Amino acid sequence: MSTPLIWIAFPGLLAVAGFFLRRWKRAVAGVLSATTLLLAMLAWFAPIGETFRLGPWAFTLSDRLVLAGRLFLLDVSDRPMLVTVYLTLAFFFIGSVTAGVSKLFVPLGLAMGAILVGSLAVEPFLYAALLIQLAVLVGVPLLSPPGREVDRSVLRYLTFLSFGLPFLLFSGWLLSGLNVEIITPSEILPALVFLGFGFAFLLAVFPLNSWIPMLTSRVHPYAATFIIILLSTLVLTLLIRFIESYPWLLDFEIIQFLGVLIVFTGGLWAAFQRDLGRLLGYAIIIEIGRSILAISQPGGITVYQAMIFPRLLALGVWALSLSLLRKQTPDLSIRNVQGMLRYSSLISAGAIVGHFSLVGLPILAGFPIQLMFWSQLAQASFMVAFLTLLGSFGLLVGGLRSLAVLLMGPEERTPGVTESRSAQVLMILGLLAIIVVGLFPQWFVTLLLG
Amino acid sequence: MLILAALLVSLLIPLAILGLSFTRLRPGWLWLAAVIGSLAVWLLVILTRNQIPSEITLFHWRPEFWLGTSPTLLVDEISWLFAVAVTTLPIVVLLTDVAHLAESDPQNWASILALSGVGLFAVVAENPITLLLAWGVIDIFESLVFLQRVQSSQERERVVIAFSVRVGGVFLLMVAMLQALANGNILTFHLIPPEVSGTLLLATGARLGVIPPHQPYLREPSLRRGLGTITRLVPVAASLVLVVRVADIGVSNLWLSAFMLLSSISVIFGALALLRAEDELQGRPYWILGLSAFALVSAAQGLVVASAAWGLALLFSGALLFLFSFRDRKLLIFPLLGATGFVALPFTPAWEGAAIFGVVSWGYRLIFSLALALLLIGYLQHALRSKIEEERFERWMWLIYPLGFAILFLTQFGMVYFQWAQSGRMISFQTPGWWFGLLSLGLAAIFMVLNHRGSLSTPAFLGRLNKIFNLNWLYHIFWWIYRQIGRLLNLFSLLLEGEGGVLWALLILILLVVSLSVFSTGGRQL
Repeated sequence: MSTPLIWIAFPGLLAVAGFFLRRWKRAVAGVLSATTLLLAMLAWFAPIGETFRLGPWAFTLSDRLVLAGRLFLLDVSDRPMLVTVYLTLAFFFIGSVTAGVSKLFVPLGLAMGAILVGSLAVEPFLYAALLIQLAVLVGVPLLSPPGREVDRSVLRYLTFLSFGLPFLLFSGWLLSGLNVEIITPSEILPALVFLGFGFAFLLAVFPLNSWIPMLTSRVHPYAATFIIILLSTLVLTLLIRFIESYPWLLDFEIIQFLGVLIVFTGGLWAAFQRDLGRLLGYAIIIEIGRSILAISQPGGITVYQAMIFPRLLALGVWALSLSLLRKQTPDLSIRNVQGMLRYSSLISAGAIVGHFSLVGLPILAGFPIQLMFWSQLAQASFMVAFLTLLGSFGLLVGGLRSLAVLLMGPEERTPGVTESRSAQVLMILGLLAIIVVGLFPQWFVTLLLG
Repeated sequence: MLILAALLVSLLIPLAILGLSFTRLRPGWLWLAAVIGSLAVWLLVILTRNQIPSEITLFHWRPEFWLGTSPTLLVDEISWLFAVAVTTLPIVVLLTDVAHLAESDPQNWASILALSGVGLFAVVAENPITLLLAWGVIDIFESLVFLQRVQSSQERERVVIAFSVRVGGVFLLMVAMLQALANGNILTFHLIPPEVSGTLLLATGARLGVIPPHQPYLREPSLRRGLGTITRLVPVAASLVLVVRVADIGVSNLWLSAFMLLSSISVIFGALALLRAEDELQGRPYWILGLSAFALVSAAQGLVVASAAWGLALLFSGALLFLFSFRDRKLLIFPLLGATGFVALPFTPAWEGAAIFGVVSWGYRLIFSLALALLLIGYLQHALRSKIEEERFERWMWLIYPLGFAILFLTQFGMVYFQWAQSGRMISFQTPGWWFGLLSLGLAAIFMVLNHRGSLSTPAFLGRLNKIFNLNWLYHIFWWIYRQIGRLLNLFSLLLEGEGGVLWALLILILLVVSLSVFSTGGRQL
């Protein structure tokens, strides 16, 4: 038994089975949600690399697997990443039926997750780029179900993420020719420049981020959010590994600069959006920027890890709300969602609370974590913290506009929109979770960070 | 520990009332339970005076290394004053609610007690995190209460605008925390670093509506008198306590000039608008604006006691005015006592507030004297208006209704005299500029006499002045700028998302990289 078998091969096989059984959408979603949740829990507790006894039998959970001459390695240090990925999958799969995504969503989503975990496990790095590209391709039918015309936003997604591939491949090729033990910064610089461009495409650094708001407003917001979160989480983990391998990278402050740039421009654009889907897209961009900024600070990886769960909660609730709102309106432009808070209160409240949680407003899940994040930045540089706060302020302005729009509208419109029982239950659970995490962050931070 | 007990009771009683309201229990019993509960909280808070100063950490947020602080309560000289004030308000509201028995609603009583409980939590906050949590709950509660009542789209928009300004205050408080951290300090209200006092005052000023001066609602939403008063005054108390804490430090000269100017505009606008308001309920936000401006300038000048005096006058005299609905001649003594609560004459509760006249320049002295006179006229004009609400007033109500006002009046006077007795204030009689209170009273008297004779009609220029001081013209300019920036950014987005978007993005990326390399190398390699 080995860790790559459990967290790459097994979910991969399940995804294939799920694909063939996709007719039974609810059953597949239920089983795969439970399985991914179990895999997340297993990742939490499993004695990776150790021998353990189960009755009379002794097992060793090896951390490596060699396949076709390539090494797949998932050791103890990968535990947080595995928990995050499978928790994200479970979280999004649970709401998938209510959100009304296509029946391909759960099996292909799982496949994407397994492939991305594989990209982190594979050695040498050259193959990681190929696996990331494979995951990006798997995402296409997930965003644009077969039989429907492919939207321009999906093409843009494919274009920008594929642009990252040659850069990653080239840097991988350059790195493979270097001896990491005796390397000097000047020797590795060309490889890192290419790597930087690769990451810039994959992490949607400004101005390469136009595909994100396009995607969240033009295709299903739930599917789009899922894909962007999953991809960005994995790419950020890759970035962390590089920073851990070459800590002097942080001395250049370029990573910090990119983080500030993403957050600030994301906030600026968010303040002027007239479509709730696009607003969600800019919020995701800001979150990516915040993650990069957190990672760029000394000791910031802990902060980054603490940010993951509240963010997942807020974005999940928000994306689910928008998906449900989208069923009731032609699109999510402010013209069409006017007054929805009065007719579809719980769903609209989900969108607003999710949004404000990401802003970091008090009593919501994002508050203690954003505070922690801003404190970390302020201790390093007040200007960086202030610019980041301005980005969040832009997001706040966007949220307040959404609130105003959802409350306004013609008085004579009669209430008539009904929310399904599952939507109500999920929304209430989501909103409660956001508030509980906001008030008692010590419970989950201690749990996640040990 | 008494403060913890008070908080617990103030949060459990509303829950109990809410639960019992679904049973067949008569509303009278629920009202009695609410009154007893609020009296218990009030007594517990008064008794905490013996435990001053005390500090209680509610729960430890982890990792403390980053956050520095956890939600903590602090009962000291300042927070105790405001704690007594916010716990007095629900008693008075419940007792005076007997005048509206026909509209009795246990859910309203539960809301009143709950909001007062959160207000108590806010005023005893030891650090910004605790205050931010309380502000968050108060803002959501207030917005929900208003949104349930307003009907028109325009009114709902105003609620969102009011909420936005409050959230702006929240953000500024966060900025202050970061400023302190950047300088190596952890911000608590024990000791406020001087470099953040301006930002803190700006945060509270925004929440109080003073900075920038703004008019939160076109019309007061049609809330019940009691709930409406609590919903207005508790959030104000939650901000005023921070104003008084900042007063301990004062602000730098640069900030001081800005605060003086903006507060002057607010105080004049508030006083004029109160005078022109239809009735005392419509005048509620303007009363708050006017008196808050006094508290704020006192804090900016570093006058702790003066700032507290104006803050408490706002709460106590304001509550009396807003709750005084049954205008029987025999009860007119109460609004007159309410007016003495803020005139700043010697031996009245706001006497210490007169210190502000002693430290500002002559121009500001005149502005603030005039504003105080206008506030006094507005107050008396609304309080003494011969409008009697058509309620059936039974005999037992004659005991309960005035009792509410008596408690309000006695608490304010008792608290202030107790403080004076402890500090020997009565003997020293040193407040500089105390006679400006007399000047305001004189001005108000002249205005009222002239008005009574009919030789002074409300001049049209007051309306024009009001239009200038409400600064709506300035906000229209800002709104126009916002829209223009929005258009520019939308155009940019269209470019990036259009057919040639990929090429545009690559071009911008190349420009960005080139610019970065030029800046980082100082242009040497290019």
